[in-house]
Formats: sequence, C-alpha cells, structure tokens
Amino acid sequence: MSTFIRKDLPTLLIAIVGFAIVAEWFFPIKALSDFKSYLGLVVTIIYRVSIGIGTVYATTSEYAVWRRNPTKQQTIISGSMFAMIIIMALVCVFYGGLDAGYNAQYRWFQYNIYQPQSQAMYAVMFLFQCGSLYRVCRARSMESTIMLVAGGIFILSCIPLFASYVPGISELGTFVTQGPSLGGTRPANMAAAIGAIIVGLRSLLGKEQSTMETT
Amino acid sequence: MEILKTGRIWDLLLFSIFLGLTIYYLDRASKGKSLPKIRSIAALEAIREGVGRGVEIRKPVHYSFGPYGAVVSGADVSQTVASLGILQYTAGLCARLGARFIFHLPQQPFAIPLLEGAVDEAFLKEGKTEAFDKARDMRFYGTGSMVFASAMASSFMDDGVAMNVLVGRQTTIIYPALEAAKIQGAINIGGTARWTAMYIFALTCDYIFIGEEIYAAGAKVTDNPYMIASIAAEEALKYLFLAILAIGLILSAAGVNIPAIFKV
Repeated sequence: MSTFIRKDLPTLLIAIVGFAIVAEWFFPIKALSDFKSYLGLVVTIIYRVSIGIGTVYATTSEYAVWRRNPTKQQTIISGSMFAMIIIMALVCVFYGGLDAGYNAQYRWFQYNIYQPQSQAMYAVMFLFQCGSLYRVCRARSMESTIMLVAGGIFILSCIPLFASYVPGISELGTFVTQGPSLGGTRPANMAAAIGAIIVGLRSLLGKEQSTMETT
Repeated sequence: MEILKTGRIWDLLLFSIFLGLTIYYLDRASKGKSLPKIRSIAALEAIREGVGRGVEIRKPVHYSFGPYGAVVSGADVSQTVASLGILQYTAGLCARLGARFIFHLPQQPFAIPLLEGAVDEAFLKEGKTEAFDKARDMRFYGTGSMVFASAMASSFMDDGVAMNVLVGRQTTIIYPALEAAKIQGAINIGGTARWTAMYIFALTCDYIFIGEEIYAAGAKVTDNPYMIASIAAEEALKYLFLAILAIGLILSAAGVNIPAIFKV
C-alpha cells in the first residue's frame, strides 16, 4: 500500500474533518452543523460494527488460546468454560433478544454473578486503600511532613467529636481543602487541559506520531 | 447576520493563539532550528529499568490503559494518544531486550484495532513480529471495571509480573490491580491526566507520570522534533496563562468585574 493511502490521506481527512468541527463551534453556518450531525451518525455506525468485529475477534482469540492448552485436563476444563460462556451468550441473544438490558437471562447473570463479584472487588479496593495509607503518611521530607500534618488536620476535622470540642479545627480543615489543596488542583487541571489541546492540535496538523504507521 | 456565535469571541481568540504558537514551533522544527529540551522523566527511565528487570527475572511486563482507558472521542482522547506513545515505547523495549509483553486491552472493543496496530508497529520496528504472541498475551475482558481489575490481578498471579505500566484515562477502580502488582513485587508505574485519580498512583506506584507529564512523555519517547516542538508550544501557553492569571488577580483586586469581560 502506498504511503499516500496509508499515511497522507488519513491525515488529510482528519485535518479537514477536525477543523470543520472546530469551525462549527465558532461560526453559525448550517452546513457545518449538518456535517457535524452526519459525522455523529457515521461514528455510531463505526462503533456498532466494531463491537461486532470485536466479538468475533475475542471469540476466535479465546478459541486459539484454548487449543494451545498443554495438558488434556486443562483442555477439557477450559473448553467446558469456553463452551458454557458461548452457550450463555447464545441463550441471552436468542431467548431475550439483542437488548441485553431488558433480557431476563442477562439480568439473572448480572444480579447473581456480576454484581456480587463487583461488590466484593469494591470492598477489597477500600480495604486496600485504608491499609496503604501508611505509605503516604510518612514524614520523610519537609514536603511529606507538611502533607502529613495537613492530612491529619483534615481527618480530625471530619470527626464530629473533634469538630465539636476542638475550637477552629473545622475551619482549619476547610482551609486545607479549599485553600492549598484547591490551589494545587486548579493549575494541575489547567496544565492537563493545555496538554490535551496541544495533543489535539498536533493530531489535526498531522504531526502526531503515536497514531501513525511509520514502518 | 452574525458572523460569530454569541459568547465565542474569547474562545476563538484563545484557539488562534494556541494554533499560532503550535504552528510557529512546528515551523521551527521543520527548519531545524533549536528547540527546548524536555527534561528527563523519572517514570520513563524506570520503564527501561523495568523491562531489563523482566529479562533478568524472566517475568513479563504488563501494560494497560485501564478499563476505560482507550477513549477515542471527547476530551480524554488526548490521554489515549499520549498513552499510545508510551505503549509503543514499552513494547519496543520488550521486543528489543527480549522481555515477554502482556497487554491488557481496555473495555472499548472499537479501540482494539488501533491498540493492536500500535503494538504490532513497535514489534515490527524491532524486526521481531513473531515475539508477541497475541492469542496468549493480548487479553480482552469485556465490559466491567471490577472484572478488569480482578482479571489483571489474576494475570499477575498466573504469569508473574516484573513491571506493571498503567497509563491513560484512569479511574480509581483500577486500584486492586495496582495493589496486586505491588504484592507480587513488581515495579508499578502509573499516570493519568485525571487529577481525581492521581492519588491511587501515589499510594501504589514506584514512579508516576504526574498529570500532564503523560503528554510530555508521549512526545519524548518518539524522539520526533515535531512532537517536541508541540510540547514547547504547550510550555509557552502555560506561561501565557500564568500571565493572564496574574493580570486577572490584579484587576480583580482593583475592582474590575472580570467575568463580565469574558461574556462577550
């Protein structure tokens, strides 16, 4: 395939479409608004088709993994699992239709298997987070000591007993979150936003290397 | 008939400045003029170290965008693009040094061709396309963030982990996977431009791409002058914004109604 088809043409298309959408934000031109709506439709079609392709891709990939099992026992176990998943998927689709959200079989799976597992992982997550707090609450440098003190003040301000009996702790906690913390967060978000805009402009101008074939 | 939509004049002005500065620095790069250097980013150096570690201890390097990582539309798409650069860098290093590379695909199936292409490209550049076993080492877990986190943790247990890299649009839900990698003794490297999710990396990672560092890292790994040039434009814009903030503060203190000015 020539470089023009592989690289130049997609870059040109991205630039035209991208700048048209940017222009739509600024200028009240009906043709641009229509073009943007039409693009939304195209994106939806690509999205739906890619989900179908993704399903086929994932299934064939799983099948390939299954065929590679080193022992007969593993082949039987993973094959049974694979077959069960395929049967469940087929039952969901052919019994209840494609709209899985209102499908009784899918909902059974959702409420009895998926949600309990998710909830267990959530619980694990919060336990891990509480357990790992000690890693950040260590006074190893001037900065981490300030962080530790600020964190300590905020935690104490959230405890009703302290808020009631220690004068000013509540206000101090509010100051920590609404002062230094917010002051640090806003510039960080602004810098990230500027970075995002630059990546966008780089892509529109066809200079973004990560999304391009170079070999 | 109005030429501009109401309230968009400042947007247009800012966009023009953004575009002008970017084009100016890209032009400098195309003419071979000097560009500012990007300082070394500790997390990038650590990726090289982690891949080397993977070769030594014969354990794989894991890479992931997170469960919702590969967004291809909206404001977060830039994080996907930045992470793609780091993905190619990590995969390329694995191919060159001979470490096993495991890629955990995010839950967006429409992004799979893009991500697969990026990894293929990295292995192709090193002339080792056969070294990446896609059927075994490219893993898709379907939808569900908790499923993703537990599947990653399970993968760390089954295959081992020398280094775990998680860069892109992250949510805090990926935390159990990071902790699992830490328990397994891996080097954890993470980064996101989503400030609200940064704390999980602070808790679990050995090295972090802090906020917008992922964009700089994504550009630095390509070693391409145009990418570096755009980062120079970004820095110039930051100074511009600092100046605007300072002027705004002074004017506000002097009693000027700043929001009213921007309502044009």
